[in-house]
Amino acid sequence: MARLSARDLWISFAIFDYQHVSLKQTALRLGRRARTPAPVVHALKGVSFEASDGDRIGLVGHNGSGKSTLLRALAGIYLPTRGTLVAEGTRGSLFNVSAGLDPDATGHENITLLGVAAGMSRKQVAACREDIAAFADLGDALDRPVRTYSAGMQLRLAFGVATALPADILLIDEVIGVGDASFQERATARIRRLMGQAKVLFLASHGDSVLRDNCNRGLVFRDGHIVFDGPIEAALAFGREPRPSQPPAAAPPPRPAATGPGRRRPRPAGGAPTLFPTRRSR
Amino acid sequence: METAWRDVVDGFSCRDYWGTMAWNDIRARYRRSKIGQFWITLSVGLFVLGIGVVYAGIFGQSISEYMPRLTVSYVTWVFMSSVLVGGCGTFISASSTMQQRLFPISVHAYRLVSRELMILAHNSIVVAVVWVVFGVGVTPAALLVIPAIAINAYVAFWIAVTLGIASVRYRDIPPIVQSLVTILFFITPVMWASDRLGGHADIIVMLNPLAYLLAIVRDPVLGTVPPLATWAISLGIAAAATLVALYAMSLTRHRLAYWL
Repeated sequence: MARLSARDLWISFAIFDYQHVSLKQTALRLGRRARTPAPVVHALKGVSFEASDGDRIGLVGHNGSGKSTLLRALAGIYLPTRGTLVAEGTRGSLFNVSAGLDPDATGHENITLLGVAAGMSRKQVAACREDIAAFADLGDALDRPVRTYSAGMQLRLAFGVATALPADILLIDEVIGVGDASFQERATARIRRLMGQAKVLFLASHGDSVLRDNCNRGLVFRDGHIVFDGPIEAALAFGREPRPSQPPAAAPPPRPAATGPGRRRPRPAGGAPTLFPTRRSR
Repeated sequence: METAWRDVVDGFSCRDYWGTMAWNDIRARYRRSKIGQFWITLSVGLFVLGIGVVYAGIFGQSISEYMPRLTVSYVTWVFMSSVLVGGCGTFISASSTMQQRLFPISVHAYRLVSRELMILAHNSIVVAVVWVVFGVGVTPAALLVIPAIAINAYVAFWIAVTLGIASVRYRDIPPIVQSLVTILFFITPVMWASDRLGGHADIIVMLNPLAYLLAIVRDPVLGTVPPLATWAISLGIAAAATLVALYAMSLTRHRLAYWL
């Protein structure tokens, strides 16, 4: 049973430039009174949504619109700067195919490394090894160092491990776009199999067909806001529109779910919160 | 503080993660060459041989007296300095994993300490060789090396946490630590014995925490029991390192991912 709920979720980063990441510079500034606080970038600006079992959600939007940040927040990596995020259920994630990967180790050894880095026990890795190897379909290459792999082969291995154990909430960033058509097909089948055990999927991609094949609901991101929440087709259509300064005329079809009909979301009013208040005033 | 402690407890139970990663760190060195980690051991051996011969002459000591002491001190020092330098990278080097999955942050410190202990085990061979070559005896006091290494590993864990956090926030800390370690090498009694310091110079040893942590390992191996005060101060250092690290963790644990 998985349930997610975000309420006015803000994720903000302080952008530390050289001055702020240098201990020496910081020490030099200590004597002076005026401290320029690090500039803050708001990656998510008050997004709200609900999701529950059976939701396969595609994240649509341009680079830097907040998709990856939301995925990381859902994984528990970024705690909300403001607002709340409730996520119940175990999580599986694939954001970066090389997390935990050792390029000099063989494919087999990397199944172990990626497995434990995905939170599996060594026992679970051993139990899933055959299934992962079968999905990765690397044959003898499994005994070769991973640095000799193509990007697609590396992806097959990482994807196979990340999806080896059923998770209540599966989070996948744009990585799967690297794969070829046959990979996309098998990845979709594998996601289906995982999703057959209920659960929630979040998938960020720039590939319309990837989203269409895997998702039934779409969230469109624009500049840190969710500007559309509805059926995937409508979301894709909405995402294709040029960035409007005014909402387009045609309303998207309604979405028959607890969260209500597909709708545009108003931009929140009010100022941005400060991430690190300058409490070090002397 | 409580949540920081929780992190440390939860982190320990992720043994399958940090144990596997530490083991792979060692294996990685064997993948590149047959003797792997022993290349480092070999260089430790060469250092001890070269410095042993030269400095025994400078200090006017016999090699059979100077060499065993230098060996055990230097092997311990290699552990300490790798913890200090490597500790800066505790989290920076794990950033891709930390941005993919939420682990207790302490797992990365466990990984570092277990890896360095395995390396220490490799380098201990140099001690064994020197002991055999010079026919140095082993006394029951040597058993004290076990609690001594345990205390050192314990301190190393908290150092890795503290320096790791500080280095994520302030990126110029790793090079600063690197150059401090070079200085520390010369002001810690690795190559020389503190009883050879004249005048007030021994205050440098008294104020140097590494000198105590080194003494509790070195003296038992050489057959003497370190004074109770040395143990007490070492435990005090351990307690201080714990408090500082737990405080740093409780302040920054949730922001660490934002800084990576």
